[in-house]
Amino acid sequence: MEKITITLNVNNESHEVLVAPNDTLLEVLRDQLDFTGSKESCGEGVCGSCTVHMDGKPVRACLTLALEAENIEIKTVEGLANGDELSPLQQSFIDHGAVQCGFCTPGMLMSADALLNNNRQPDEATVRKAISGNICRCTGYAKIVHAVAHAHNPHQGCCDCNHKE
Amino acid sequence: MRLPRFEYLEPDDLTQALDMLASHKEDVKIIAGGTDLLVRMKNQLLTPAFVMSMKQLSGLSYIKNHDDTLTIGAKTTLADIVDSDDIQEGYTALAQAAERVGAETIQHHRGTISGNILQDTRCIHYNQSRFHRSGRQPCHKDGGKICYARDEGDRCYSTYQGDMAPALIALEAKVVLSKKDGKRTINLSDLFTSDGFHPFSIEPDELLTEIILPKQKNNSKSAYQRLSYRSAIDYPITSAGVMINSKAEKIKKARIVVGSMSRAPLFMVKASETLAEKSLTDIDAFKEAAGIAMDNAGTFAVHNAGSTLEYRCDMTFVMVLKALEQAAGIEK
Amino acid sequence: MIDTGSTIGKSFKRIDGVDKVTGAAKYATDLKFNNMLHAKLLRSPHAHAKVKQIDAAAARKLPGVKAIATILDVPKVLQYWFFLRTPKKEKQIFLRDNVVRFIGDPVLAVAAVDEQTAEKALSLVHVEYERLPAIFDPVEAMKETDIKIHERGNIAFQVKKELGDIAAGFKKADVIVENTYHTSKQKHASIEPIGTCIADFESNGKLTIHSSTQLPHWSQHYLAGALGLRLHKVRVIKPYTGGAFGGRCGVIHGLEVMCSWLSRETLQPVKMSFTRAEDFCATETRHPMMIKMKTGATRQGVLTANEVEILSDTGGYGTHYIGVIADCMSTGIGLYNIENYQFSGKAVYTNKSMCGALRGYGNPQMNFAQESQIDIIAQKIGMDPLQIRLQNYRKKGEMDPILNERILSNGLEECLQKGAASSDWKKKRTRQPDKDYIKSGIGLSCMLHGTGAARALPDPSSATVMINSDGTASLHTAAADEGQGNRTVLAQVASEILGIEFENIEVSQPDTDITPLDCGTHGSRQAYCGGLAVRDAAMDARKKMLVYATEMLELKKWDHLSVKNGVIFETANPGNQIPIEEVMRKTQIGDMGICRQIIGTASGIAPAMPGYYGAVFAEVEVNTRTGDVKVKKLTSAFDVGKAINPDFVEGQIVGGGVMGIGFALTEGLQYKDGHVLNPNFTDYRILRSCDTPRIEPIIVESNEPSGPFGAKGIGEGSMVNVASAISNAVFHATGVRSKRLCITPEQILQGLAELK
Repeated sequence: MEKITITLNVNNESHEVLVAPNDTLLEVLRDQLDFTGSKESCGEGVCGSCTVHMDGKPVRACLTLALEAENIEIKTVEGLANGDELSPLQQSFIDHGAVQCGFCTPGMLMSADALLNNNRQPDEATVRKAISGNICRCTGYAKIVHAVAHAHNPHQGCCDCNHKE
Repeated sequence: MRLPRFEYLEPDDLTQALDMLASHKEDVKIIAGGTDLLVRMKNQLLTPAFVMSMKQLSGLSYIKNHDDTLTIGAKTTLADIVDSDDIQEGYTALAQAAERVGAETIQHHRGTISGNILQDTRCIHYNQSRFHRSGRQPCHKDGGKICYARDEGDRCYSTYQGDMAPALIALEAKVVLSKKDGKRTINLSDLFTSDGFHPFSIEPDELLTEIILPKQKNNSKSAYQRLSYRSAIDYPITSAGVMINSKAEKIKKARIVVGSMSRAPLFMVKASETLAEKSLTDIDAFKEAAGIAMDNAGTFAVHNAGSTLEYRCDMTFVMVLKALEQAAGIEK
Repeated sequence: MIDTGSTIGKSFKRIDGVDKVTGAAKYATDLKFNNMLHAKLLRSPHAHAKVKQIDAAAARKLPGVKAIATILDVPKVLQYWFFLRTPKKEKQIFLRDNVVRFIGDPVLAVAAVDEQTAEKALSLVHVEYERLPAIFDPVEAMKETDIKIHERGNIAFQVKKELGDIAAGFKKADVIVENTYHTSKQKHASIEPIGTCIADFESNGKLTIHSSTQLPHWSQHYLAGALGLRLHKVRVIKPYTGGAFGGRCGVIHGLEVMCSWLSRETLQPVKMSFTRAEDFCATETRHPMMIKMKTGATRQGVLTANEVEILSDTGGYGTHYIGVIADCMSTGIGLYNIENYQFSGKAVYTNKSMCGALRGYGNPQMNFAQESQIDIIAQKIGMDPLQIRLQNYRKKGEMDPILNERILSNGLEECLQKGAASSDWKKKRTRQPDKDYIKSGIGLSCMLHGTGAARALPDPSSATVMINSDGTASLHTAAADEGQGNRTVLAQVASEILGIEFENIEVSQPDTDITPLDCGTHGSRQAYCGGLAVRDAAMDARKKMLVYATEMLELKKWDHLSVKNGVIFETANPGNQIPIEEVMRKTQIGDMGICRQIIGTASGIAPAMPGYYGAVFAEVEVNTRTGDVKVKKLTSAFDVGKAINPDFVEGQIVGGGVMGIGFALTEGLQYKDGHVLNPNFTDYRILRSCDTPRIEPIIVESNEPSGPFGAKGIGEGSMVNVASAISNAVFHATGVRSKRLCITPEQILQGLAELK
């Protein structure tokens, strides 16, 4: 089948792209539009590294056809910051030591951001559930969970919250 | 991992969708959430000529409460089912099943009820990369004559590991299958063929459009239990959907369905019948029923879901018992 | 030692944090070059076979195909840098033959204009194999004489060691415990799949490789050897890396060498990326081991003898089989003072994917066996498992009998005491009434792991510090950061010594054209070995800087000066001061007619291989209906010498803890007829956020005299004794003693049935 031109709206900007029906959204984002923040780790929707938002909801870009993403607001990790100003969630990840190798980080941020858009002060169990589709192999999740829980709710001595119940 | 080539169809409405199905028949696969289909396509287990998107068929996304039934549109997402008070209260097992599918952020917003029901059977020897399968003789489901899960297996023993169907069958669900010239309504249990190669009786030109749940008389409670290693992502290695219909603390009707043990969800007729007229607090009766369910389900299962067969059988007892206890309101 | 309290021991935010949260950080898979080709591997569908003939004519003719390389042209690299120093290194590292030894072993690579074309080309290749019988069981491999996986036979390596008199040791014992333990084939499962590189061979004969390697310089050595190049013609650049855990120790089987070969043929950049399934099936794993252990002790809890026999399954090829067994040999006896010790280890080949380094490097396997044994002994003699360990551990001042090194720091006792207090060990150890079918328990275990490999391997570290004319500094080091935070920690070390603010120090990524020789990142070594090199390079630069400042401040002796927060001052008279920036401007731009940059360098091997210690307390709940083991909490106390960045140390302790729980309960490759059955994240079960318990990290600082600011390692040790602690806790909860990892629900139920 012929490739067709569609418009993808990514991070509030329109991009015309020429896609084949079997191109996934992830392939188009990474290979054509250079949004390489979204990562491929498993390619079958179980690791969460490619999580992006479609109309505000977290989805797997590796299991989404690019054609199905037409006329939908797509947000990637590159769209989280406001210019040079990091979002509170991004800043919280840095402050809490929630980043190690960083490969799962974009997907984690997108899953967490979707949660925070509905619930600014989630408890630990809610955060753990919201990121249960994202694998992190480095951190053991604790610092990520705290980074999300405290993104809009910073408190003093936050980095020690690991030690508290 | 790249997808194989195909042609993309995006009907504007149901009529157009049914037309497309009528003209392309078995050459077309329907993509709803994509979480099952696209993984199979990436592994080249399926290479359909056409993929038809449900994207525009927003009319198929609903949960409607009627006098005698509750109807659910085929495109309704798992998240909507989990969020529905009507389902949480009246059809607890279904809500519990939906909640346990995959992981919240992956399946729940994209995954649909019909996609979940119609997910293909699985086998650890079949759901593998093309490279893995290329180095050996094809198995039954791959178009060959060998079974890797069962020595001398003369047919495909792949396992149906969907969560929602066992719950729905316990709740006596029916499904509506639509096609160009009409539609038919069948019991959900009849949608399953018990053939691992062709697990569903849906015709290539039919589209599952609606799920119908009857309203139970008397006091009706349901529950769904499943066993998996982790609390997210994993497919169940055994599961149980049950419904208990009672009046004055006596069981009038019980339905026990075991999932993930065979090529289809198993409605345990004998085990269910033993519970008639038993008290809601009769633990021994529940144990007996669970034991029968375990014995019966055990005859169907093969070693193809990652843990030992014996363990899955033993756990079937535990899951059925837990589900019965929960539905009866005596869970510890 | 300089310690101004400015940077050491403070949790500075990682220098790459912004890059990583904005998606700007580029990993190997994100890199693109003009004119770049894409390569794919054809892998063997047979577990053991000879490649008789390869017919690639049709593939070559396919439009878009640019080059093909096969194992008949390109040598396999058996990367183990110990061999770099042996006389027979050529033979030991580079294997040229036509045999494939596991399903997935690379046979041929195609470079084409895009991935689809490369894949299409693979389907057009016809390989004629002569199938050979395969062996999957290491015990069979050891016995089997007809089937030889390698020319020399199936035994890759064996070693024996005896200390004291083992028979006398058992004579002294009141209790003797003998068991056989098995461990699984764990995978690194770094989130960036192992196996992406871009090779760019230019017409001037220079090869540049972008690869996520832990050991850039040894990769350079392997590539030069495989391609017949001199080292200055091979440039290895390491971009951001998505986790490694030992899986990227050099070059990847079938990756960099193949790509370089293809790039040399085409003079175009060639990129290859493995899929997750390729990562699981065809890159290195942990060595599965069978460990027989016979341990003796007196009724008073004195460990008198330990006899260890290890059979290690190294898979189709051997890379780290020697080191991994050596680590088993040294860590067990290094931890406890057991007078009589006999160790024998064998590594054998089987037709499965090859094994290599994975966090802990043999130690988690050995530790599972030994810490189980000690727990069993404690129970038999009715002693508190905490007490028996306190009584037997090898203390500061004693000798490590294998490394022949005096122990200069050991905080294990503090780890045990703090961990016991924080986990409420005493109270939880007394049996609590069970909640119906849920049984709870607590267990503990200890570990010792070496920092770096100074006593075992070529293990150099180097650093260069260049101070810029505005008072900022550039630190060049090849201390590969896979995510742990080395670059940040090393910037802290440089900052402390130079007196230049942390944010004014830039740290390079490894690039063998620019960054000086470093063994790379393995063996928990970078805070220690890398830290020493950076410390010494910074001291060199500091001295040169202060010498000029002495002149400018019109003083006599440079060591009368101090430097802090960018200002150099007379120590006895702090008012007499001059900003670094001014000194640098004058020296470099030329007020003084010097025009000279201050560059500090250091290179060498660490003076020691200090052990770091840890105690893990695991609390579990076992569901006796389902056999499910839930870890409720880990209290993990580790002696790291000195935590240069406490936040990062915690990150290692908690992350290693979760990987350790996986090793204990869920992780391991499953095989059928040589095929991996679970090469994906659905069936290879890594713990997810919902299943991860609370892990309380406790940092103990014993101040290692040989380390930079007292630091030693942490990275690997944090997972070493988690499985043993969990297994001991399961025993406490249920009475079921697990001798096989993973501890599956089936195993628990079977154990419970046997107890009845």
